[in-house]
Amino acid sequence: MAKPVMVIGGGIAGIQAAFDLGEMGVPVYLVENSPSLGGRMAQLDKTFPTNDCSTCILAPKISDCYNHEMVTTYTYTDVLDIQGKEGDFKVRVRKNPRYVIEDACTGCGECIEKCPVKVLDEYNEGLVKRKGIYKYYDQGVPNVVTIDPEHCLKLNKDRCGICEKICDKKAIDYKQKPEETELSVAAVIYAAGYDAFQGEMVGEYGYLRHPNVITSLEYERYLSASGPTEGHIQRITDGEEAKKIAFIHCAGSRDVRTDCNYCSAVCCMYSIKQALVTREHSEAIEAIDLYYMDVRAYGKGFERYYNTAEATKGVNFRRSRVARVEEDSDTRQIIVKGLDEEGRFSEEKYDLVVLGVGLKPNSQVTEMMKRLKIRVNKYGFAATDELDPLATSCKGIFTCGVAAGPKDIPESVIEASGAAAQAAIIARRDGESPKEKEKEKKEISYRFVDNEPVRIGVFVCHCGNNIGGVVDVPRVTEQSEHLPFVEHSEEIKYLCSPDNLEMIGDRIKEKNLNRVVVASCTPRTHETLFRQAVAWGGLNPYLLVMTNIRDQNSWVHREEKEKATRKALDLIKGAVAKAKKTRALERSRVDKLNKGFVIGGGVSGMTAALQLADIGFPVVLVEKENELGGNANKLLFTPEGRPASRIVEELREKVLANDFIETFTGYSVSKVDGYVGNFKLTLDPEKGKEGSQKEIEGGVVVVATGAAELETEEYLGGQHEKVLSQLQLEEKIREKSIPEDLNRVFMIQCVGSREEPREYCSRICCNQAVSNAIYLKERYPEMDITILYRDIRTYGYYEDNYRKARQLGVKFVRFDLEEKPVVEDKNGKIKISYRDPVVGVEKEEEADLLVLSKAIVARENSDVLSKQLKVPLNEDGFFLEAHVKLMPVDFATDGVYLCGLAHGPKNLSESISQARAAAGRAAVVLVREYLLTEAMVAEIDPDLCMSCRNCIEVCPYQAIDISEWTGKAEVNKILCKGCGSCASVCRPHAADLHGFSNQEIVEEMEAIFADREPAPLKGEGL
Amino acid sequence: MTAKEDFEPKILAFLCNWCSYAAADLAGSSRMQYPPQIRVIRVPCSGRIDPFLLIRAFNSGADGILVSGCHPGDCHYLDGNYYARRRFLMLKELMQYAGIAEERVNFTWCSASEGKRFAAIVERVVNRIKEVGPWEGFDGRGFARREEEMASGE
Amino acid sequence: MESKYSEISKNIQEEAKKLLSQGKVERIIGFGRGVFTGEITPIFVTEPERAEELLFTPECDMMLAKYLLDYKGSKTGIVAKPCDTRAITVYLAEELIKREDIFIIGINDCEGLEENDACEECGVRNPVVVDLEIGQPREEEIEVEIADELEDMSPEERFEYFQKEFSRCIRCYACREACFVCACDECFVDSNQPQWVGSSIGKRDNFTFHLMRAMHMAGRCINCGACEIACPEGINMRALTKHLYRAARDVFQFEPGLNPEEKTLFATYRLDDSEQGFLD
Repeated sequence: MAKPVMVIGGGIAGIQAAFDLGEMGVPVYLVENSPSLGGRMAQLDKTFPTNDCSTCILAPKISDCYNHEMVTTYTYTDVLDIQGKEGDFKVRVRKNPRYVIEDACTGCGECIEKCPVKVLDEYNEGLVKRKGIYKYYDQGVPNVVTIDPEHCLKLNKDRCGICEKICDKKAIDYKQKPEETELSVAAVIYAAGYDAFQGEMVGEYGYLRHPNVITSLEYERYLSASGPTEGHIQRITDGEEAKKIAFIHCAGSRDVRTDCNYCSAVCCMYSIKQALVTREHSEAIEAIDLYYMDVRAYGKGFERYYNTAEATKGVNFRRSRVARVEEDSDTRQIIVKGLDEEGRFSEEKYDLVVLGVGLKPNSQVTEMMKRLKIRVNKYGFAATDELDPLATSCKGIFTCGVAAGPKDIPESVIEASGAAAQAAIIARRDGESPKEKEKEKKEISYRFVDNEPVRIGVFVCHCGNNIGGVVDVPRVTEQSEHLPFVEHSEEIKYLCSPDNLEMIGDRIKEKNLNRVVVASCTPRTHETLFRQAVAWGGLNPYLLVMTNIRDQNSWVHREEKEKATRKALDLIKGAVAKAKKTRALERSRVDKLNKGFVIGGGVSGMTAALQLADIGFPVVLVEKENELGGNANKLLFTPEGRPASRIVEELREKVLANDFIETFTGYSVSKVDGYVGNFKLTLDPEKGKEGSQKEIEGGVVVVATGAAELETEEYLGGQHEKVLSQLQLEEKIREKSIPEDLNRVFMIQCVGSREEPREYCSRICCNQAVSNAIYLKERYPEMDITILYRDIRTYGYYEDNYRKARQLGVKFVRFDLEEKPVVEDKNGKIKISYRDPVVGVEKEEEADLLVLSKAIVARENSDVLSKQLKVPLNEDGFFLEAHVKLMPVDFATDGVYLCGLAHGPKNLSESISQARAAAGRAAVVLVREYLLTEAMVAEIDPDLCMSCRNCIEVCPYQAIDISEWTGKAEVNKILCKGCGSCASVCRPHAADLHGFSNQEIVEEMEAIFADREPAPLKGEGL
Repeated sequence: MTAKEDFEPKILAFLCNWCSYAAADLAGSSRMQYPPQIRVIRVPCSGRIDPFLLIRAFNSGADGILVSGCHPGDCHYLDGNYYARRRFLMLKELMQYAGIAEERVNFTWCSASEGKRFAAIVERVVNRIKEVGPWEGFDGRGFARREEEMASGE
Repeated sequence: MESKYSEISKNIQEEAKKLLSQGKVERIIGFGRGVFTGEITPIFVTEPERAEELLFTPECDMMLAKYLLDYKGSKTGIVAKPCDTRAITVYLAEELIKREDIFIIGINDCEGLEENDACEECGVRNPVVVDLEIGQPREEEIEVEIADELEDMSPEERFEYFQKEFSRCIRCYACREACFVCACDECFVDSNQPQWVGSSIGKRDNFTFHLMRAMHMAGRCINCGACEIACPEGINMRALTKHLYRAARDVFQFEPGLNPEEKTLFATYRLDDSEQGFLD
């Protein structure tokens, strides 16, 4: 068994890190200081650039993590101290008293309703009130209540005590004390997130002074259907519909005055998102104005999103500094006074002004890091090295997400997976070897029931008063007993209590039951628990059918007891009928191989290979060129300005010296067979390379094939000796062949990016250009450097470079796409004509050197690998991950992972993080002894299949193929995730889904309507 | 025939597990009240719903149907709801053309955070169906509604 | 008129003879005389000598494409009206047959069959896929409309109309046998796990059967009319399927059997597909 790892912070980064570690067989303590998991993402309404519903995508992740057998979650718990060293840390934590016994509380919420105390609700940013006993948010996990110790009448004044009286489960305990524990862990991951800037930090925006000025996080709650106004957008002062709304970007970021000089990296995009969502919400809105300096839409898919917003009627982008924000005291409207780049003032009135507040470090974490002598940067975030971006200065302590600097959700998830991979190395290194025999013993064999007549047991839960107070449970139980095939029915006060779960097992044995129906709360939270109970009774856990008579019945029909009772009976009838047809299901084992493939030997590929090898798996690294290194071979600088060549050389040496890594340079993949756990790759030598074809087997594939610099003749690119690309400039600098007499240097940004046919930002070029300009300016202070740009996108800390470049005298001149600079060769001289918008004049100047920031483009032959591996490309030719937000290194096809430039433009440091993440996700497959299929998977009856391939078309996981043997479609169970799309597209109904089969659904439906027989015939013959 | 105001419809709802079923649960934990005339069948994805099941619901005596999946783009299984959307639209066309009141055939989307929306949708659907009255079956003969037996506890 | 058909027949016979004697196909599926006077029936010709049994007359109303499914994997020639080639295209789109396995003798400038009302609504007068053309292709497009005879009825009237129509159904499944789409090994009406629809004759189950049938055809039915010709009770078999044909065409710009590269209606989607009628 591996040693445990602690993850501090239960937001999306912490959840991902904990889940990945658990999946790698590493025990995890996940510590969160608020009452529920979910963090900031749980507060969001929708997420850019897909407008996915935040809760919809987050909730399944939370429950997977919380229910993971390797993860122990400590909510409402503070980390007090960390002592020790890598491999052997002692962490002292304090579990704060909820005054509620977590194991006893069912989260029914009766106490919340009765509690007389009202307190500002921090989840809703203090915009509404919650009770003194509360859930942090409705879908919060764990699903238990918490007493607010500051405001509870009982705790403070020894009055009230209603919650204790009302709770049947005796879950209230006013005498709870904080409990301190010391936990031994091998490594620690900081995923502690951020504080949002408070609007009051920037006085000129009038936050707090003017009620109609709010922060973006507050606005996020207003947008949410479960927020304070249920998604209605209204003025704070009078609740009138807001018709004109302004968004102010960079409120608090990129601002020397607030000491937050960095760019918060996410505000441009979330402001655009909020603008778009606002537009969707209401047709009545007249104008949505965004005040910005640069639109930093640099991530994957962001530029398209931005263009959509720009093209949306009523959404206006105003490149304008906000000088003042005032209130019209009569109308309570907010007056925004702006100053655009040409120096013109503007004045507009708005009903609502939303401040795009930035991200700042979590002050508690900063303090603690300082105390623990972990280095923090000048802004207070954890300091990391760009080449080891997930490690803190303390060995064995890692960081991910915003704890190490502003970033968005996918980047946080990437870092989380990467940090988990690194922590796993330590945890596995120091752990004892796994005791597999013990595991074997635990496996239970279930009673074989296929040949038995159906004998159903029905258990109806009162859930205290929650169901019992509305539904006539005794009557329902009594009537259930008369349903066909029901042998036993029973009502229970709390079915989920440990003794009653055991009782279910006893009844199964006693009454020889072979199907169990549980009528209680929602299967989304309790199905796992009741399945376990069924398994204790010696039955296959999938012989359970649950029906929800609480959340979707008694709670929502409180005043209609009779109707709710009938509904409950109908639902039980349906469940019983379904149970009749339900079959035992297995998660079958699939053998797998231990080796990993990494395709592409650039920095990403080499990092991924090393990471996988360090976790403990043999790796085959395939590189098309004769030398490892990829694009980085051409780089002069790392993003922070260190020489790149040495770094690449070091990596290369490490790879070649690693016994676990077998490297094939000059080879490419010519054929891919198999699937997760069992791939077979055929490698062919490239032209001119001596060597024979290889066939190698392995369990996973990491795609790290990189990208290329655009070849273009625009602006005389490649046509003139004085016109170079940024990479060529770096090459010249390295070769020291920069002519000394350069007086006038121009750089042009976005060459081939951000316009058709490449509607995306190449992300790295702004910082690359700025860094190169700084390098030149520092060595040749007299040199006149002008950068022609569209938006400067020096996100995050790179904003520091932008500021430095300006301080050094580098000139920045903006141009519009419609008015691109013109470059001409006039008798060997480079002439550049452009318009300077600040002074509003056309200029024509001569350049001694013109440097083009050319687009990063996908590898031309990506489509070959894409087809071989059955993984998709996006419209720009980059590989397309399974989910842009939450699965940024996985493909929908299991066992194939993605990192580096093959995924999209990114810099060296980001590539390293993503490579670690891809290796970590791949290791999740490799660490297992065998793979388990899902139980509820599709199956195709070959006798009915007509091989029309429609199921193959609709399957999102490439899990179906035509069998070579039968010529009929066949489901690969290890890839199937049980969505059932194949079952409904299949014309001859050959495809069906276990657990939700046609037969089960039809039976359920029939039983619900069993009371509706056709009316008797009147006079008509049969 | 039953008077419209006394008419107790019974409506079959198919909800996808990840968004709409979660929305219905949220409506519950938020104690939003909505009419009790729907019967929910949980399915993994709206893409799982074969139109035959919906036709069959009317054969069995459902006064109407409601199908709700994740909003387009939000599907837990990437794109199941996009396929479903086409099928549902075609089924709706078919039922409407065959003369089944369109109020009886309802499709929508609900995200996991839209408990309120879910409650409102149910209310709307129940009202729509009450408006058109009891479903008398494809043969027009009506169904014996045996709910009354229940009340007496038989 | 008569001479045109005998001309076509002669051409077919000549070409068929060549194909068979050169061994280019193993058999040719076409039309020939049946045992009764004037009866036209599908025939399967394997010897060049028998090629002259092949005929083409205005009575050749069956859809022959379905027989191709019986000869998967062996080279088969087929005499195909334009509608047959659309059926073949549907099969090709689902890869039920391989293009290289079939040889299509396509009849150009189809005038439609008198017996079949559907032909009046058909704008495809030349083969969609073809290896060998018989006759000159029709150059000018023809304007046709897929009529909606029930347009003026209220929903209630349509419901009653269909009740009446479907009440005549004797569940003989002649429609199924005639239809090229109906190629499932087990028809849904015969399934008992689950039983999708009751098998007895009755208004309720009949109506359900016809709805399910229409839904089953959606995105594949080409409105060829074979079902209607086959129905012994003279039921308006095409009303529902035709409506779905129109809906798919108008809403999704999808018409089956015109492009073998195009995935079937329900095996694909567009991000901006219509949500008309969904509750917002």
